[in-house]
Amino acid sequence: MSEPRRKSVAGETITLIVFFVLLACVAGAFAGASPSFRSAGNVVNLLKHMAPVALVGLGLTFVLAVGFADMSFQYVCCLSGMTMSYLIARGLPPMASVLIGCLVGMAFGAINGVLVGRLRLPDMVASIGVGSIAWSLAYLYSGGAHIYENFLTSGIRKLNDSRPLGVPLPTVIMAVAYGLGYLLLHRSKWGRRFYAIGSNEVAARFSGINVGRYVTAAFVLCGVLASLTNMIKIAAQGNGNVKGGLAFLMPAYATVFVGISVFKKVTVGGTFLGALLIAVMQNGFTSMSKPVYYMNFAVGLVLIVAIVISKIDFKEILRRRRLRSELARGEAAP
Amino acid sequence: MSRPAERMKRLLAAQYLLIWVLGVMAGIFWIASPAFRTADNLLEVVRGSGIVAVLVLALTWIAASGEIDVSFPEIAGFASMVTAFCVTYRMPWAGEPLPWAVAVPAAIAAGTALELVSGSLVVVFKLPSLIATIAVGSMARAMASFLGEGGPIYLAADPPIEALVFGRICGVPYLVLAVVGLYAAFSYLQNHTTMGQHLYALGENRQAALDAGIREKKIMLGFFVLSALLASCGGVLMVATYSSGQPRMSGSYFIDGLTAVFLGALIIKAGKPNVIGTLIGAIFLSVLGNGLTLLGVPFYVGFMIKGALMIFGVVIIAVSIVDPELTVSLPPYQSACGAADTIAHVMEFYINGREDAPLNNRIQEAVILTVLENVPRVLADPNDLAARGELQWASIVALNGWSQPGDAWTPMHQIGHVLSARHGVTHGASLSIIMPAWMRHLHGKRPGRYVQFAERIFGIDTEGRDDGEVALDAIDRFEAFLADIGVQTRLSDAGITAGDVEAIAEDVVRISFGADGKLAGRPPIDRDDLERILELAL
Repeated sequence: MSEPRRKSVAGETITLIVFFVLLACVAGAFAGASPSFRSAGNVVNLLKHMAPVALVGLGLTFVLAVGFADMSFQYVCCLSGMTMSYLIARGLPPMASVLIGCLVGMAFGAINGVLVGRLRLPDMVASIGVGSIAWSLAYLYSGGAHIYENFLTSGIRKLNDSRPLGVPLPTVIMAVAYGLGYLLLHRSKWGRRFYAIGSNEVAARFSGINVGRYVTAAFVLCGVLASLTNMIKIAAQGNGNVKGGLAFLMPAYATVFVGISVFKKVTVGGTFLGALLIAVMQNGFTSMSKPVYYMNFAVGLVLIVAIVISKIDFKEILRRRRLRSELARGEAAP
Repeated sequence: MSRPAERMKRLLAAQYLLIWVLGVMAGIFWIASPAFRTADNLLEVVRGSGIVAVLVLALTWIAASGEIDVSFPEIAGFASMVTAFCVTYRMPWAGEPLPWAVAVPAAIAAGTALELVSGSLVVVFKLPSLIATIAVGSMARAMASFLGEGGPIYLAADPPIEALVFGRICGVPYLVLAVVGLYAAFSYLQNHTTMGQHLYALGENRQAALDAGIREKKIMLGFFVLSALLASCGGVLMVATYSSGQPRMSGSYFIDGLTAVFLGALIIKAGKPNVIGTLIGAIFLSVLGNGLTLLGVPFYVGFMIKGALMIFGVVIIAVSIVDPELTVSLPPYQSACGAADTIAHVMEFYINGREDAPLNNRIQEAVILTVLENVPRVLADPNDLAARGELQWASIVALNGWSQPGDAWTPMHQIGHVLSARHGVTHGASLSIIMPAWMRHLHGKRPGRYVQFAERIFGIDTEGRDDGEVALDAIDRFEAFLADIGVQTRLSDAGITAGDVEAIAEDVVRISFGADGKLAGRPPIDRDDLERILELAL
């Protein structure tokens, strides 16, 4: 029983080392190319800019943990963002606007969850359908125009700018969300149920797990966190627009899959590492004043490289190499 | 029921619903908008569906085989930018832009090469296709933006290739001819070649398809390359349409393309993406977009309608309709095999399930008795809807799990599946062959079960008789019933000989035996038991 366990820990250590070497290479390249990247203040900056991609990735982590894919969060968060912007423009206090925005994300997550988890519709088709509806609703507030009334005066920008105890609020939100996410997925009986459903839905059902409820919870978390992310982004930009959230699709999947490449399964810690890698690249290209498509290219490339590396069985390669060198020395048993 | 009414009813079935919706919608636009019904506009509608139709033709097969490609709009955008770039940028070695005859193939080759990457990631490195195509799509989009330094590339003059989209022969646009030709060819390949069979086999049951020796890697890689090839062609058509290269077309083509495929899946093959369905889906979206625009409805309402239709569509597919009339046209053999399967699903638990489950047993007996009673009625009169209804109801009770709380494993099925895989035996028939042999071999291990079966199902008098004798008597009657309704009960009936037993046993052991060298069950059986059962079934 202890044999396979030890093996997986060793495999994890190797991939972790590989990941940090990769991270160091990327960071080193930026540090060499851009003086502003290596300034001390940039670390704080990095942690702040990491928050959006980390939060949206965290939500998606739960959906992938139960073995489904969500193709709607990038549309849903556009709707929540526009809802919040509209409420701000109508004079509602920021706190209430953000909460209502989160509720919108929750509602659409719940719709996804019911369609996929309870009615057992195919996840991708159902969520694209839901996303399509959410996105069309996002246009209703302004017909697609930017909303920026009251943004400077209402205090909504504090969602991005305020610094409790000197730490940027997005970083605080990220830390809290990851703490709670870690406890939920890795330190609670509920977390084990998410994984149980992800690895064998039928077995999970037969062991008495209410599959529909957990799948719905996962989609709700994904919807809420994506919504919160887009609202932070809107607060930072100072205006709400209907397409802002679409850009989250790729980085969100990238964070989770970089995480999978490190730990061989969906984990909160892995997603955090994925977000860190992407944030370093985002921050690096920004500090070099490169347009955003440089970043997209690099993220796509790094994602592929990370996953391909993770598919390589390092232990097996080491074993073969040892065997070969022993054979060369003529001491190996047949 | 009279023939025309029957035919009418079949046309109203779920798999034709979208065509009706399309007709009604086009009718409404026709009446409501004079601009819609002009010849020019109708041509425009057809043309508008052309690009989407080209983009997602191969995606249809990828989706049907259970994978996904979300990079097609990005690949198309990339190809459009490469084309526009090649014909506007002065190449350093020549001092002038490339001619169109070079630019277009170059763009198509570049787009296709990208998908070679994602295809290889999926088949060689076993990446989920969603993430592989997201990554490659993201890179394609980035490279497209790079070529235009972040924006589109506008052509100075109308491109010579615009004839592809706007040119006509005898009033029919070239694009329409090309699309019809492509779809006819793909439709033929899908419905009349083994490749078409394989792609749906991959989508139905990947593991079974692999076990059957389907060359999954070759097929999937081919599909991804084909998808990129067509997406790149779509990109070139965009240049012809908009006289510019567009790096960020993904938004609307993404939803439209996937909607065309998945909405189209509702048609004809009731839930499985198929070529003709995709074409109708693309036309549907084009009519919808065009009509809404002419009526002055904001474009985003279209997204709502598409989303709602997609969800409505998958709900229709996911809900199974139980209507005895739908089974009237089944050949008698299929009805009988269905009945044998219904019995098998409760017999698994009746003889291999847990002890002390009296209610389970009584539900199982009710199912068996209902089938015994009604199959002969159905075979005597195929239009006996009452009897067919009872059979359907029995199959629902048998298969939905009500009769077996506490049990799930179906050992007899594990043997039956191998018979189907190796020798093409119909599922119900494979069970009908295995059940009597299994029971003859194992009745001594749980005699109480078999005596109860004999008493309650066949009303056999057990007073003063030996348990084994009673059991064998019941099994003989059971086999006689199965043979009477026209289902095979012997391996030899299915053309399987003693020489095949070894290989069949080999497969069952490999696929279904546990680490303890046994097929789980009550009682678990080993390889010797298995071979004995197969010999008894000869």
